[in-house]
Amino acid sequence: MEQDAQILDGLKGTYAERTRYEKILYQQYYYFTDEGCRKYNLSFDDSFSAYSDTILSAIHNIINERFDGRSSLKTYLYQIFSNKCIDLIRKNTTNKQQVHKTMPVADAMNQLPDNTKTIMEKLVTNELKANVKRQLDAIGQKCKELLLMFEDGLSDKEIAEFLSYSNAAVVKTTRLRCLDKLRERILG
Amino acid sequence: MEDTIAYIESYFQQTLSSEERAVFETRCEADENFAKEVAFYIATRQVIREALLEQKAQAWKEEVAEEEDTPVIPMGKRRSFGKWIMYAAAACVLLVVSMFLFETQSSPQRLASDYINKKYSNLSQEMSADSDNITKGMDAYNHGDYDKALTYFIVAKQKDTANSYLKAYTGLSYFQKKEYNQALKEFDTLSNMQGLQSNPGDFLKAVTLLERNDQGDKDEAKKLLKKVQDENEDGSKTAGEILELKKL
Repeated sequence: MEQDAQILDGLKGTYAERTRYEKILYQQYYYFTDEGCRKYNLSFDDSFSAYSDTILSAIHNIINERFDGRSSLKTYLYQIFSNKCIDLIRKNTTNKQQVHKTMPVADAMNQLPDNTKTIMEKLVTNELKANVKRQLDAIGQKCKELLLMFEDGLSDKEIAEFLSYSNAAVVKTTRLRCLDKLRERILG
Repeated sequence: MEDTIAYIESYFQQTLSSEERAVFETRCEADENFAKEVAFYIATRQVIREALLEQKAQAWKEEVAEEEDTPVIPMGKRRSFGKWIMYAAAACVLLVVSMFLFETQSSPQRLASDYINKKYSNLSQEMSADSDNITKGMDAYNHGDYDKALTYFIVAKQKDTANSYLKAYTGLSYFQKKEYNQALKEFDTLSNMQGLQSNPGDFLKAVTLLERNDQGDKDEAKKLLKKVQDENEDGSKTAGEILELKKL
């Protein structure tokens, strides 16, 4: 078992180190998936999705210094995992015909206050998401790669270094242009 | 419209002040067009996140499966710092003496590292999938920037988990960084891959064990080298030469 401090340091290290510690973290608490099946009565696929999403959310919070370290990593992960399992149960209960989703509730949505969130939940439809998914392939591999890296928690500076852009500002402009290109295709 | 996207992004990146956040939230409720822009942004982030998650979950899942199937190579016990100083001093003395007396003679380690330097100092294998990252990784590797090379190879590996070359290149980058435990993991996975035309996994594992030189590593390396020689795997000629030295 790796110690919390070691994992936290590794996740905040270079990209190679981070990738290595992501795997370690993932393996260390993989048994949560059994808990998801047993305690929350989820299918293995649902429990696995909730667990993978938990790890990704936790990694992002750790990198962005949003994990204050007041609880152990295990407790912190388990809290996120439980919430994601409950979200998944709610979704499955309210709409049994819903197509299986990898992620129960997106982090961006959770940042909104309740009133705004309700409005957004109505606007972010499955149809809109399907459209974005289709158009994402059409805006080019470079754009997609850039957006994926940003979503993976890499800063514009790190992306600039990695993809050989001259500086972080260029990456930011390019990234926003990519989003705008996508927006044009969807909202017109 | 880039400005609107930048504004929306700054909200979700939490770079707005609390007053600015309140204005943003009110606008979402009062301005339908703006709300649609925000919904587009959220939907896009969700789709990208799902794609990322799918990519990562697949890679993690495969890693778990590989680790479960793979026998663990015994690691050497940690020695105390004092012992290390003693070993280092002894090694220095031995090094001077051996350089003086046996300058031209080879050691298994030297043969092994010569092989790596000769064969893998420059990577040139062409790849089919995600060639951009692999080419950049090889370029960084060939310029001795192994950290950067690793970053490219790791990203490429997430997209192409079954690529044997990528496992070899990732392992070689770790090897060059002297991170032998990580290199061994990669080579171990490589050696367990089935159906390849040629597989240098066992030989690379043996070479890495010789370089790491922890307790039991030489014996493990010897077994692997014999296997490479007997089964005529990649590196069998050098394996034979190392075994002939009888220094293992």
